[in-house]
Amino acid sequence: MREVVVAGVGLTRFGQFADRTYIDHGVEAVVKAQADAGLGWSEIQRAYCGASGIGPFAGNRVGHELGLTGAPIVNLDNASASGNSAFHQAFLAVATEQCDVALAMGVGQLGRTMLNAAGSQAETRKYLAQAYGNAMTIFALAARRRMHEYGTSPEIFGRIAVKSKLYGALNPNSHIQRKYSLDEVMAARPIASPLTLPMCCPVGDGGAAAILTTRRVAERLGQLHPVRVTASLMKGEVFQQASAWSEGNTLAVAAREMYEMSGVGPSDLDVIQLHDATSSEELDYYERLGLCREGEADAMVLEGATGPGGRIPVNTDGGLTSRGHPLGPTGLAQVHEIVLQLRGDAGDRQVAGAKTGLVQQTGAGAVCFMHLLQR
Amino acid sequence: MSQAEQEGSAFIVPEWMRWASDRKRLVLVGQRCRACGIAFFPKTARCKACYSAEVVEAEFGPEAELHSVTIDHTGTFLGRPHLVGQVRLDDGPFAQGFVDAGVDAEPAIGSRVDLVPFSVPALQGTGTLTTYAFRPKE
Ligand SMILES: [Zn+2]
Repeated sequence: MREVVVAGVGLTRFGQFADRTYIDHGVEAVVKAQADAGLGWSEIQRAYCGASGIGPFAGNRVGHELGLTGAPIVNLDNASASGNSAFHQAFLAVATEQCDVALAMGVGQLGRTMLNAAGSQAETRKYLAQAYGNAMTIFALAARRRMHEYGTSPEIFGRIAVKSKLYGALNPNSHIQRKYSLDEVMAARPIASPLTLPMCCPVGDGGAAAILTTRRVAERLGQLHPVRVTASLMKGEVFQQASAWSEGNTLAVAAREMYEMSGVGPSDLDVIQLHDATSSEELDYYERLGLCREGEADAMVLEGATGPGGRIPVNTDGGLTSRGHPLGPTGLAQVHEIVLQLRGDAGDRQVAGAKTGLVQQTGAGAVCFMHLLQR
Repeated sequence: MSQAEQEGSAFIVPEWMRWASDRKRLVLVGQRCRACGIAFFPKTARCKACYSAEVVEAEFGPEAELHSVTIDHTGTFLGRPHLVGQVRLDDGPFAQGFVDAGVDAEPAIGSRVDLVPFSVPALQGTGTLTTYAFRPKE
C-alpha cells in the first residue's frame, strides 16, 4: 500500500436550512475542497459519496452539478458512518493504486427519520414492539447502566455537553453555536433520562468533502508537508453476549486493531474526533479507546482532560452534539477538523502542536471506523 | 387490560411472543444454538456467535432481570412520556421494551420483572395491538 495524503478539505455550515438542498451543500463542500487542494474537478478520478436515507444516487446528483467527467461515483450508506465509509474507500483507492486522486464527499438532509426509514409496516411494528421510538433511548439505557455500575453522576455527562458547546461556539460551521453553563444543561428539556437536549446530537443538513491523493501529486500542488493518512480501518459488529452495548464492544476491538496496525498508542494521540451521538457515549469511548482505564473516565472529565488545554482534547469542533450530525457528511467534518488541527489552522480551537489526530465513528452500532491522520 | 381485551388484541410481532403457561404472562420466542449453546432473542437465520445453522427455538421468561431503564420523554409511540427497559433474560439474551409502570415508579436496576402483555396503538387505523412489557414484581 502506498502513502496517502489529504490534499484538501471542504465543509459547509451544519444546521437546518429550509431553502437549501443536500445537492447545494455537496457542491459547496466539494468546491471548497478543490480550492483547498488546488485541483480541478476534471482531475478527480473517482468519487465516493456517503449519505444515509436521502434517496438514491446522492453523489451523482452532486456530480451532475459539477460536470460529467466520466469519473465513477460510488454511493455508500452506513448510517452515521456514511462519510467515513467514503473516506475509507477513497483511501483504499489511492493506497492500492487504483487511482491517484480520489474524492470523498458526504451530504445530509433532515426529513428522514429512523422510523420512516424502516421501510415497511412489519419493520416499524418491530420498533414499536421494543418501545424503540427514540434513538436516544439506546444511549440513555447504556448511560443508566453505567451510573448503576460505576456511580457516574449525570453531571459528568453534563460537563461533557458544556465542553462540546464551548467548542461549538468557537466553530463557525457548527450547528449549535452557543455556550451552555452546567446548570443550563442539567435543567434543559429531558430527552431520555439522564440525557437532556444539549447532551444529544441535533439532526440537520450539511455537506463535507476531502480529496485524497499521493505524496507526489501533493508535492506537484505545492504541498510539501501534507496531512498523511497513516491508518484507516473499518470493523464490523462483533458478538459479545456479556454486554448489551454493541457500539462499545465494536469500538474496543477496532481500537486494539488500529493501535497494533499503526504502532501508535493512545498516549501518542494529540486530538480526537469521535462519535458522540450523546455526551454519555463520548464518556464511554474515553475508556474503550484506552485514554484511561475502565471506570476512570469520570475523573478525566472532572480534570478537564478532554477540553481546551487538556491532555487529550476530544471533539474540538463541537462533535456531533454541537457541530451537528447530518449523517452523510459527519465523518468528513471530523476529518476536516483533524486536518485543520494538524495544519495549525484551527484558530481559537487549536490544540497546540498537534501532530497526530484520530477520527472514530460508529454507524448504527454495526460498523466502526478509525482514521489516523498525522503530519 | 382485561383478559378479554388481551385475547382480542393480536400480538404486534406474533413470532416474537406467546402466552406463558399461566395464561397471564408472556414468554419471548428466540433460539438456542446446538453447536455453541448461546441463546438469542429474536431469532436469526444462523447463530450470531458461531454462524451454525443448528439453531432450535427456545422460550425465555416469563421473568427477567432489569438491566437498565430510562424515561423516554419524547413518547413517540404512546403520545406521553413512558419508561423503556432493557432486561437480561435468564439464559443470557437481552431484550428491550416498555416497562409497565408509571414514570414516577421506576423499578430498580437489578430487580426482577415479569413479562406481561401491554397494549399499544396500532400504527395505522384504529385499535390496539399487544406487545410485551416488563412489570416490576409486587
Ligand atoms: Zn453457535
